[in-house]
Amino acid sequence: MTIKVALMGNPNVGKTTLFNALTGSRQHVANWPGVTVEKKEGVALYKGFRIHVVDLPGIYTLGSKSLDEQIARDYLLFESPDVVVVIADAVNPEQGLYLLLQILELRSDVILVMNAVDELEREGSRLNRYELEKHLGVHVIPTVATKREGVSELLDTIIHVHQTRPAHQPVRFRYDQTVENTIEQLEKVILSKCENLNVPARWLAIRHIEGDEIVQWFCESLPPIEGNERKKLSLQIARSRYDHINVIIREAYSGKSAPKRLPLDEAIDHVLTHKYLGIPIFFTIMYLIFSFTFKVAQPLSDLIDISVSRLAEFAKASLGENWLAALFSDGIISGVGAVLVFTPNIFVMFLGLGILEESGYLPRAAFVIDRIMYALKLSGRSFMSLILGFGCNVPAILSTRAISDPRERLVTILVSPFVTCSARLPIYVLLAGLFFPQNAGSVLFLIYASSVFLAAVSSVLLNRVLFKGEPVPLIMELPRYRRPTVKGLLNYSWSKGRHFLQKAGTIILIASIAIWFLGSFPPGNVENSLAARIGKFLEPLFKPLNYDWRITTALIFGTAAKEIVVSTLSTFYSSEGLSFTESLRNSIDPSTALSLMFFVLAYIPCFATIAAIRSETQSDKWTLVSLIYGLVVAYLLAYLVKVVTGLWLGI
Amino acid sequence: MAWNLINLLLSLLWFSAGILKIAGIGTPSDIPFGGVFLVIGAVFLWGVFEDPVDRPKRLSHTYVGGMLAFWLGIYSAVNLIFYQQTLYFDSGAVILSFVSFLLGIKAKRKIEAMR
Repeated sequence: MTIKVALMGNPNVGKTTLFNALTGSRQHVANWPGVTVEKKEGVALYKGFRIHVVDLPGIYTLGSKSLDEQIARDYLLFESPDVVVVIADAVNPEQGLYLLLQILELRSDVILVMNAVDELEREGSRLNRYELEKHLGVHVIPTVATKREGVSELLDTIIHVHQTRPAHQPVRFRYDQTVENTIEQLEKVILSKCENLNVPARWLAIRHIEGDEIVQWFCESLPPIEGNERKKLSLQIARSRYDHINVIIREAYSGKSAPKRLPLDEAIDHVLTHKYLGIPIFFTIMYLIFSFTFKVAQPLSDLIDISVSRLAEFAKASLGENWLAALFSDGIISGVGAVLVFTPNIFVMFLGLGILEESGYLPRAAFVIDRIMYALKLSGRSFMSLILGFGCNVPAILSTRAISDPRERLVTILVSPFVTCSARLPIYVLLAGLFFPQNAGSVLFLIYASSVFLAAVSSVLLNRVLFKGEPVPLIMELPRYRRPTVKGLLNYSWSKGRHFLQKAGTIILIASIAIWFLGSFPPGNVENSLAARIGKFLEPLFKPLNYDWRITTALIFGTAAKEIVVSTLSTFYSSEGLSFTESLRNSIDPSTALSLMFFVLAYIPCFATIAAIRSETQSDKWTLVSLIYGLVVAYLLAYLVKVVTGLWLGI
Repeated sequence: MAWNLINLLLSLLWFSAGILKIAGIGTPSDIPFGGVFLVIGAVFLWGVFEDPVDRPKRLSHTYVGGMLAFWLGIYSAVNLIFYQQTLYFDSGAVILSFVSFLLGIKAKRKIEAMR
C-alpha cells in the first residue's frame, strides 16, 4: 500500500535533512533558508508500506506570494497527500506552530515533528510532547533529523494516522467574536454560492479575510472586504493565533522558556553583521577561500598534471606512430586530462563554500550585502541566488523562485550568468597560474569579485532601463550557527564536485574527441584543419582582443561547457618539444590572458544555463536578451582589460 | 581591562603585519593579502571601543578575530610548507594566528559562561 506524505514547514528547520533520513536520499542540505525551491520526491519502504515522501519548499504561511511558497501551498491543496508532516524547530517553535495552526484549519491528518530537540536540551529546556498533543490534537514526534533520531517513530505514526484517517476532522480554532461573526457570514455565502467545495468553508472564509488570492480558485463570487476592515481582521486573526501559541509554549516547555537566540550567536552576529566591519569581513572570507582554492590545491593539481603527461607519453609509446595513438594521447588523455588537472581546485573551493553554508554564515553575508544590493535595486535574497552561482548557474537560476517580486526575479535570472561558475574555474586557474604566478590567488579573487560587481552593475542598468520600482526589503530569519561536520562538508563538496568529474567523463570526453578530429583533418598542418577554418572565419572579429584562431575556436566550443575551453586550448597549443602550458605562455601575453579571463567571465553561458533561463523566464525574448547582452558586455570588458593592462604592463 | 589590552595588542600586531605585507618589507608585496591582515586588525581594534559594560560584545571581537586568524594561519602554513616564499614572515603569521585563535577560543568560553 502507498501512503503519500507531504513534508511542510518553515524554511531551514530541517525538512530536507528529515527527507533524506526517511528516504535514504542525498538531497542538498544547507544552513540557510530557501535551499529547497522545488518539490523533491523519495520513497521509504517500511513495514510493508510504500511511503512516498514529498519534500516541499519552506513556507511561513499558507497565503504565500513567491513561487516556491506557492509550490508548497498548491501541493497541499491540489495534490491531496494522505498525511501531512509539519516540521517545526524545537528551539524556535512559534513560526512553525503558526503554520501548523493554518494547516489544521484545512485538514487534521497532520503530524507535528519538533526537530532539533537535542539543541533545545543543550540550552537547558525540555519539551513535553504530550502537553503539545493535548493542545493541538495531533501526534507530536520529537526528532533529531541529523542523527536519524525519531525517524522510526515518525514512520510508525505516519502509518497509524493514515489508517485512522477518516476519524480526523479539521480543528476548529476560535478567534475573537468580531472575527468569528465575519467568518460565519462568509461561510454562509460560500456554502450557498460555491458548489463542489473540497476544502472546508471555514478555512476558505479565513483565507478570504487574510486576502489570499487562492480563494478565487475555489469560489469566485465572494463579497469583497474593505481594505482597512481586512487589515483589522487579519491582525486580529494573527494576534489570536500567536496568543494561542504562547499559551501552548508556556505549558509545553519546561526549564527555561524556549530560547530565541543564543548569546554566542548574538555575539558573533554583532561582529559579522556589523555596519562597518561586516562587508570587509565578507570580502576577507571570500579572498581566503579563493586563495585557498589556488594554493592548497596546486600541489595536487601538479601531481595530476605530471600523471596525465606520463600517461599520454605511455599511450604514444605503446600504440606507435599512428592516428589512433594520436587520438588517445593528444585528443583523449591530454584533452580530458587538461580539465581533470583542476579537480582539486574545484573540490577545495566547494569545501570553502560548504563551510560558509553549513555554518550559517551565508544568510549573514546576504544581510550585510543587502545594504549595497538595496541601493542597486536588488535585495539580499537575490544575493543568495547569485552566490549559489559560484557552484553552477543552473541552481542559481532555479533558486530565484524564492524571490517574490517578479521584476526582481527576472533581473536576478538575467544577471546570474555573470556570476562565475565552477566550470570556468579551470580557465582562470590555468591562466592566472601561468601568467601571474606570484599573484594567482589575488587574480582569482579579482575575477570573482568582478563577476559579482558585473552582476550588480547589470542589475542597476536593467532596473534603470527596463524596469521601474523598489526592491522588496530582505526579511529573513537568521539560522543558528552550527559547527560544520567533516562528513557534511565532504558530502557537500562531493555532491558539487562530482558533476565536474561526470562532465569530464561525458561531454568533455566527447568534445575532446570531436576537437581532435576537427584539428587533425584534413591531415597535415593544423593551420589548415577544419577547426582552424572555423576559428579563422571568426578571427577578424576577435583581432582587436588579440585572440588568434585557436582561442576563438576554444571560445566557440566552450559554449557547450566552459571546461571545453581548456581542453581545446590544450589540443591546439600542444606542439613538438613544448608542453601545452609552455606553448601557451610563449603564444600570448599577460594582458591577452587577463582579457581572455574576463571574456570567459561574461560571454554566452553554457547550454544548460541557457535552457534554465528559457524555462524560468518562459520567454525567448529574455533568453535572447541575456545572450546578446552577455556577449556585448564580454567583448567590451575584454577589450577594456586588454587596453588597460597592456598600458600598465607596457605591452 | 585585560580583554581591552589583549584586543589592542592583537590589533597592533595584525596592523603591523598588514603594513609589512602591503609595503613588501621582508616579504613580497601583496596588497589584497595585506588587506586581510588589516581587516583582522580592525576587528580586534573595534573591540576596544565597545561599551565597557557590554562584555559579550567586546569578547565577540576577540572571538571572530581569532576565527579569521585561524584560517589565515592555515593559509600561511600552506605557504610555508609548499611554497617557502618568506620563512620569517609566514612563520610569524602562523604564530600570531595561533595565539589569536587561542585567545579567541578563550573569549568564546567566556561568552558562553555568561548565559
